[in-house]
Amino acid sequence: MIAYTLRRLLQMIPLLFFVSLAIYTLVALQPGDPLEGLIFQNPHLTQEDIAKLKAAYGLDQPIHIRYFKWLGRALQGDLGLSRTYAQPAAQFIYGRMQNTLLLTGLSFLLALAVAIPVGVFSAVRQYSIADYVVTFFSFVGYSTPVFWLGIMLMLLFAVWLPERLGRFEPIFPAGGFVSPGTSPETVGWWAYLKDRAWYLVLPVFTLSVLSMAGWTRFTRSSMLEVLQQDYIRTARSKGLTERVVIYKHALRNALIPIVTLVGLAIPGLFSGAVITETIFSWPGMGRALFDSLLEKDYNVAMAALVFLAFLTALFNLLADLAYAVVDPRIRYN
Amino acid sequence: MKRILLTLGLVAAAGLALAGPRDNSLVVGASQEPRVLGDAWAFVSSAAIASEIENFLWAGLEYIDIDGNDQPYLATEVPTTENGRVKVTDLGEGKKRIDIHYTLRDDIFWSDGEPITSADVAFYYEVGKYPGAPVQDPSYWNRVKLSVQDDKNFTVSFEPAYFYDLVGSAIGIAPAHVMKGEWEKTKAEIAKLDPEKDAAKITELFQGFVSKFATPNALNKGSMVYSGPFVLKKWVPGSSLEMARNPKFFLTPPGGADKYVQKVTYRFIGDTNALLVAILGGGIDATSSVALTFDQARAPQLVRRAQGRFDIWAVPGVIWEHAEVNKFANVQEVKDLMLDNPKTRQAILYAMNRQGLVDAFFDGLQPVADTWVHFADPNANPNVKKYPYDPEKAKQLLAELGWKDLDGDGYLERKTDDGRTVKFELEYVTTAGNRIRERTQVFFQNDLKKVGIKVKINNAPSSVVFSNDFFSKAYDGSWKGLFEFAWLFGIVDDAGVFTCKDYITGETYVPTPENNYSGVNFNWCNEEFDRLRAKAMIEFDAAKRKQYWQKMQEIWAEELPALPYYWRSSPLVVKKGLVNFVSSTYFGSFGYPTTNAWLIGWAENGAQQVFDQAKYGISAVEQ
Repeated sequence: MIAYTLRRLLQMIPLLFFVSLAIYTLVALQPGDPLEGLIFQNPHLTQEDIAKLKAAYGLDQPIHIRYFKWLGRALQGDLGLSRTYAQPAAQFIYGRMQNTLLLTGLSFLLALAVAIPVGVFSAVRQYSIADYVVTFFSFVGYSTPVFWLGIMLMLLFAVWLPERLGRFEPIFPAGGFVSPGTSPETVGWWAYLKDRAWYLVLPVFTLSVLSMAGWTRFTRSSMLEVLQQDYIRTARSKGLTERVVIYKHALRNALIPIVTLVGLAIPGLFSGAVITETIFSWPGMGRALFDSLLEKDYNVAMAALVFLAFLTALFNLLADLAYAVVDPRIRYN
Repeated sequence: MKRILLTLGLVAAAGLALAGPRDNSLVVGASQEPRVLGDAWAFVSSAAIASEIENFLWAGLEYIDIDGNDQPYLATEVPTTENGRVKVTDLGEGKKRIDIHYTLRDDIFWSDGEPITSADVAFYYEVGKYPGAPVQDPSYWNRVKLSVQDDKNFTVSFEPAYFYDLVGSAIGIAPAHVMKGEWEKTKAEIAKLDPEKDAAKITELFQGFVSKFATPNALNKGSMVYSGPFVLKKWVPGSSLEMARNPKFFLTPPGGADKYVQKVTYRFIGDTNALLVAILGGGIDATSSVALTFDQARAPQLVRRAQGRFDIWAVPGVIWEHAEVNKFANVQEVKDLMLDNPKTRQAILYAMNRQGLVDAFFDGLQPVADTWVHFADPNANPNVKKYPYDPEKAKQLLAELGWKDLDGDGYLERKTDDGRTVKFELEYVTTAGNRIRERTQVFFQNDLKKVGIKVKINNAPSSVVFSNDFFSKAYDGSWKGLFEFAWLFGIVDDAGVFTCKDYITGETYVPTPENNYSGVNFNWCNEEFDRLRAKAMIEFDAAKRKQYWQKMQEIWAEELPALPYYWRSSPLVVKKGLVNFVSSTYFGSFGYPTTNAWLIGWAENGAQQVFDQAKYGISAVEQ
């Protein structure tokens, strides 16, 4: 197991090298460069001025030279300065990552906490009214566009309901992640945490709906498959209680494919959710990555994408290792 | 659970309930967020939202008032030739030099109590002039010189000088007593590098220097001082920015500062639909100049709720929506369609129902443009040739050029000199995904069809159409007909976009392989226009310059190097009772409603109305 893990970790080095090279090339090959807007807007710039500006932003050299310069610095722990934020790219990414993990982590936990019990419930009561209701709402949740749901929830809780209730303040705020002027220093930790929770409700719910619906369906079908296995019939014939059959024998086996699915979803927690973050003005990784690509802030884009590539490789490995934990038949040599 | 959430909501909402006139505060909603604030040299960023917020925090030597005129701010008076503060020297060969003498007011202080002096101007100058500084306007820094006489007097010189050097502040200002130490360290680091080989590293050092004072972290730590009517209290990136009144600010609004807003909060809501919801929810008192789209500001949900709560204004701005025309006759399609012939361009413009378009799409709130000069510009010529919708006139001009519907398919054809039959099929490019532009295309496609012109739409994302290989290479036929986009022409526009040859510098602005595709004039060369511009550029007598400028507009309107569509209007949503949060075309150069931030207040708290928005914009509520 240890040798296998080490081998996989070593394999990640060439993998990350090629991934970073591919990402750098793709980012650099985007049409246009960061100076084009500036150049168009200023007809007074001479050829000499433009050449100097290109040199000043390191755009005067071919892509491969730029890449190896970036790689050299990255290997020394320097991911460069964000051109648009004027702060080290790594520091910027770290700040955004914290916000993102709070949002995506909570929605991940909420989705998991709802999807697995509801999926199991739905499977053990197959073709009951409850199963049809769960199936119906799963399909609704799965097919509802996030941008639409987010805006509708905001309208409902920030505009329509307050109007109906005759109050001017929103029940839940229309975007943002903390009330202006609210910090632990100004209002105390408890009030600050309550305020943050108030802002989290709508985006967390919006973001979790899709995974909640998908994972519910997946859990249901995985459970149904397991429930038809011989060993479940055997367990029942041994006289085990239904609770033990479902939770000890069936669910444990049904979890194997779910672990894969959930394990592969974990890197997504770090990459953020562009649409939800944008609608709810949540300053997370998704928006940072999207903005950095649009604004051609190469250092931020590279730092974010390579970090995400590393996480994807790492969580692939962890998902593989988790198989061995949940399924004793699997052993790595 | 529901009850707990509702309680949480009520507790947190209590903060919002105090907003507005009740605690003499203001909440402004913006769809963009600055990355840094106080980057006086624009080493990192010069975004519009930053300029709007910086109006609260820092004062310049002068500012552009609501009517587009210069007003003194930190300076005692606006330098002019009449008051002897501007000296013009003729250098011959069409070049001039100007020396602008400023005196700083005696009662100006940074927010930490240090006086604002010439040393702060000299510091700004030293940093911007330093070799390797990644300045975005090298022309300015190459021409400017500073000489300091004493703590309050200094002279800014430009050689060669242009008329716009006298518009607004001639030089910036930065707190030397705060920034000098870090600058000395940065200089020491730069000295270790080779300016030729290490240009990118030097840029990072300059940006790193700015970041010590201008990033949210630095500002929250109190690393910066302020000279404007407000000071920054807290900036939560991605969420909000709070400012409080600066007790050291030198101007007192009528009736006393305590009658005007004491606290200003910017809320940053990137998604404009979400911003609209926040406005509807009552959490926003006014919108920034970078906020809702024009359509969103006229959304029925907002307009219906606006009565008695909000004013919604459309303020004509300086963004000029238009279509460039490829006039490079070496491109076969251009030659075939005779797009290099002014008569063809006139026919196309006559065939476009621009008034119909702005009425249909914008309720007439975005005015049709006649030339590239805004009608609110003091130099605008209202008597230029105009092109009202006239399809018959368009047909007549096209017929004079030899176009006829030869095959009866409803579209025009003509025989070329080399015996080919060409159809009038016009390529029309714009930025894909921009709904207004795509709808405009279809609108004009329909108009042009009526006169026998077939429009072939060829759109691509903005990153593609504005890339060097596409935008600048019209000479190579990268685009072959019309290209719709917008230019932003401030009050200091110098017609550089339409200049073929600059008779002062000798540069040409027609992008061809010879000049490495430099410039944005797609092959319109009018010697008289260029010579008039060269004269206007060095004419410091406003009345004389206006004459040159007006003649240039006449030539332009006759020749139509580009097709003017309309001036975009900026929507501004302002709660009833909030006074002096107003915008005009040139307020603060680009229509910032915060230019006179010290006057913003609530009428019910005793703030006096100084500006009437109705004079500078059109109400969208009454439409």
